[in-house]
Amino acid sequence: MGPQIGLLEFEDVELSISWREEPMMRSDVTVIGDEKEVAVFSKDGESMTSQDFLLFDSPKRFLVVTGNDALYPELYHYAASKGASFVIAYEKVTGMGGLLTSKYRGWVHSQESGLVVFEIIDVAGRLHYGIYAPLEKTDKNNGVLSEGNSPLVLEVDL
Amino acid sequence: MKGIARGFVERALEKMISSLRKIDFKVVLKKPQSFRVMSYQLEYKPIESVEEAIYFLKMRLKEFTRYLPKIIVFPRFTVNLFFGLIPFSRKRLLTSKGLLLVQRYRSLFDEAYKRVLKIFGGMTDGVVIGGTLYYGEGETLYIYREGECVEFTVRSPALFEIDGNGAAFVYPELLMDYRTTRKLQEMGIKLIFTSESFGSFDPWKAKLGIWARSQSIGLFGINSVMVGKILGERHEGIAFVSAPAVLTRNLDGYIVKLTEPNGRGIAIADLDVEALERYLLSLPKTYRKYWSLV
Repeated sequence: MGPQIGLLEFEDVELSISWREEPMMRSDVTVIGDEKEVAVFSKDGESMTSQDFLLFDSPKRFLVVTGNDALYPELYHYAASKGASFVIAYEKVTGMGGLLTSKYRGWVHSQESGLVVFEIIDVAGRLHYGIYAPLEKTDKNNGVLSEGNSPLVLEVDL
Repeated sequence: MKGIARGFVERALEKMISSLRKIDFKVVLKKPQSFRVMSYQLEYKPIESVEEAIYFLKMRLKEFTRYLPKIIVFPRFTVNLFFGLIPFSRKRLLTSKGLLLVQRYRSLFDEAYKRVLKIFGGMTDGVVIGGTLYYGEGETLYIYREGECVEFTVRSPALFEIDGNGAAFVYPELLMDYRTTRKLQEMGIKLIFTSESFGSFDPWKAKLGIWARSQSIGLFGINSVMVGKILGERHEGIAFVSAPAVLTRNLDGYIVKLTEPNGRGIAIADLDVEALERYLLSLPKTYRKYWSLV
């Protein structure tokens, strides 16, 4: 998760998630968006765009959701019912309260739906990244795979 | 022999209740603070004598008069505490064998506790979520409001109002599914009371219930808890009041929480219902368009 230029040092990238960038197609699947719109591209030439949410089937089925639609549990539940493995949420908030609210929600949505949740949050121009999973799927049993302001690169067993 | 024991318990309960009646109401009665909630974390130690029962009740009254709550919340199993008044029952009440005693004397304690609750409610002029009586085959919740003590079966949400605001007691297991609280919220419920406890306390697992619903749905969650070994099962937990993170001082989603999962204490919070309403109004209700999908 983060600027795609950070992927240059890797030979194989299955999924990249970033905020408002030109697609570099360095990874098998690239997700680019902001709080209003999202686009998904695959190396095979498949692509989709949406202003609320979309389901994509490569490398595994996942749901991407933007803005206010990411606030609530309903869409995460829908993704789980459709066999999705993870959800990517793009959000824009103001202030520390907004950021923490979004992070807690990402954590809660992951626990509620049983899915891994990738959150990318814009707080006054600064991006925050978070990856949340059900408690039992995380090393520390705390539901947090990784989070921070720096781009995140990790292997996730979905 | 059974008749003698029953008579003893009846007299003990009557003595306990009459001791409360002797308290000068005029001295005690004060106007409660608007939406101050007082949520108890109690330790399960069956009360063994009438004197101990009177002391327990008077201590609670002292706390009510000190903190002036609008809403008093006792945890699950509160009524079970008093079953220690049955002679030689304490050890059995710590194991599953105690259930037979609870079932045999249930009606006596049920009646006596409702009278206690009416006295509590009358003195505080507020709402008392009186805790539950667990008897193995079921569990009864007692709520005092507006001069009446109402009983509920806890396996489905118990709905009531506090000064025109929707409230509900929801059994902890029902809180694990967000849809239960979403339905309640759509019915105008803003305050959800529950009593979450765990065999072994884990701070992350403890966030999966009402704290999580406070964040994802947007409501006040009031947890009270009975800790200790209760009828053969260990219970740990913390009393707390949760709210959406932006409405909490530390931005952690807790207005107040106790820290020790085995001790006792009181979580006291002043709930700003208008702030919650403003917060909910500030969010677009986009979830409604997805109901047909789920």
